[in-house]
Amino acid sequence: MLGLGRWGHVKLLLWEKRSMMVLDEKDDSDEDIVPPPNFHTAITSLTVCNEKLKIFVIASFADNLTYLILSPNSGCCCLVDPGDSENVFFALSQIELSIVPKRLNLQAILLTHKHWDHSAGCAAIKACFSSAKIYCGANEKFPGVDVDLKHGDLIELGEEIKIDTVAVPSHTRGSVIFYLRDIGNNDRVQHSAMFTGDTLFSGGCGAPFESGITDLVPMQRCFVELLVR
Amino acid sequence: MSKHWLISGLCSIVYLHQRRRPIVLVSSLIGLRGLVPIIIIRSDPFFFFACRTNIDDIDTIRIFPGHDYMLEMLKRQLVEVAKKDPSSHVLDRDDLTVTNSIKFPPAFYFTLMERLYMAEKKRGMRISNTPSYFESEFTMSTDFRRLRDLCEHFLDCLLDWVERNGSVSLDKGEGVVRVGGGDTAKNLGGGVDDITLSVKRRRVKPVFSTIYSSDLENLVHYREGNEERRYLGEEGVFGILDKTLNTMPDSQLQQLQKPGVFETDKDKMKEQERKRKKLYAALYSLGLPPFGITAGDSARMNLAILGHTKMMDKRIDFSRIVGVIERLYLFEKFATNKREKALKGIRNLESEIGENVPTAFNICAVLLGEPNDSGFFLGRLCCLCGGKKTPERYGEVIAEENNMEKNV
Repeated sequence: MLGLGRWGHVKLLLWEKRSMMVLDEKDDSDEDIVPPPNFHTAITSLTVCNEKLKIFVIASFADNLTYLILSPNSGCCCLVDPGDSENVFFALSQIELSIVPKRLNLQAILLTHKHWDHSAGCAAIKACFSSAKIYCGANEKFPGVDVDLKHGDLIELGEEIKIDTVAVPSHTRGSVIFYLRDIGNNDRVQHSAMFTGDTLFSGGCGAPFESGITDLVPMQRCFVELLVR
Repeated sequence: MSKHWLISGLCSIVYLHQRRRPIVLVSSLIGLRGLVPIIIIRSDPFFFFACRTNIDDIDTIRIFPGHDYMLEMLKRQLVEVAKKDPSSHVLDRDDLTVTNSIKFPPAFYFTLMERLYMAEKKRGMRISNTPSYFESEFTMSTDFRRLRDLCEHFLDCLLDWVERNGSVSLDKGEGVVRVGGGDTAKNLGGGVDDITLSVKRRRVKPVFSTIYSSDLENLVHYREGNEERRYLGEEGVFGILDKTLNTMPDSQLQQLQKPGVFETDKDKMKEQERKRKKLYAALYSLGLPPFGITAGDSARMNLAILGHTKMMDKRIDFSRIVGVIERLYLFEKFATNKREKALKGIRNLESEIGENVPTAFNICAVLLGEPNDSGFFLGRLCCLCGGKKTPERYGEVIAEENNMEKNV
């Protein structure tokens, strides 16, 4: 009995250590920048797509998150849900200075939906980066939008950033989710990241504000769409 | 010292990890003054798999949500469960850990607490909790757990139907005692027509109840003291029951002696109603693609146009249902023959529906053995589409809705 107990205890410790090592290996690529006072969390980055792309997490407002998808080789990048333009400008300057010593070429601003906390910074950013196009769901009728997105649209930015669009009309009528494609797998389309907006959170989901009154399960159907892809 | 090692060893979770196979958890509880009980729990393989499998092994996607709500969502899950627990009065963290340990499967509970702890730590250090992993959301998100529940319900209904081969129909009749669906029912005559009994043989839920003889006697006295006495006659309730039992064939008596859950028709109807509603929810959630609030919305977003039809009339896609079941690893817990049976059942279901449109109503009618009469006559008098279910061209739809559309 004593031996069994000791064996179990040691086995558990080894397993925990191994799993932590796996997590550490995954997090090796993360680089933190000390946040300014108006950032609720630090700017973090993650390397994806066979280490060819970087995703930066930029805090905005109280708990919003804006993402920058960057190809370090070319400097080509796009923003997802830029709610707070000031924070975005600060983050872009920091990234240019310290992480990617190359002029950033912002090509697109992707909006998952039209709500102000996800889109308020669009105008200011567009004023600075005139070449950047604003992408938004076709049903949102967002002012100043350049490209109306439909279900299944593919957004290609440079050679390395390829993003699939999945329509999930429930939180708003034109809500979309962006799938970032893996690079190098030409045989089969694989995705490495998903930008869900307010449709899916970690541990829950957003409210289906704009779904039919007779439709009781709009969110769950959207999740099914994500599962069967 | 040896006692300490014994206790710490037994406190450890010893797990036998086979890839994507059921896991056995062995844990123990410690009282204040030593070792009290040892609990052996067979954890749900899905939860353990999804919680503990190395995420490198599976094709997973990182989720980048629009808000950093992970901590709030996890706390809410715990608090909501604790509120439902009548024994919990204080929602302190210590109480939560005690009360909720009973509610969740152990593997899921441990993972939830671990993530909550990590999320809180990260929040304190001003580090974002994103990204998380899509596979881990299958257990962490209440919505995905609900989807899994609906999938299981659909599979239960399907396997039930496969077992009885779609041949069992529930005949309802007044004054009839049906035993196990047998065809030699006995008419009791007037008086006790609302006490229709049935034996549920196939699936016996672990439900126990106690009926005291004094309660039964009170009930008999109450009934015999009222107007109903004249319907019962001199022999009373027990007399009728004795007479019924005496005239009952041996085969039925043997069926009655088997353990089972007795339920009245009213309870059965309620259960049937619940079952039907949940099956509808499962079919709507799993079998329908996302669609816009209007047909014009669907057209603009290149989504399926399902027309101005009621939910009852929309076409259910079986391939989506199978896809979700596969993706949520629900087949993993089945034996191979059961999995084949389920897949074959879906094929049979498609052929059973035949040329009819596989709507939620038709599927429910087949699976639950109910008459196929939608009763949605008014739904077909839609003034918007005039019965036109699938508009042929997108442009027409958008033009139709230009006048009536409002941006919500």
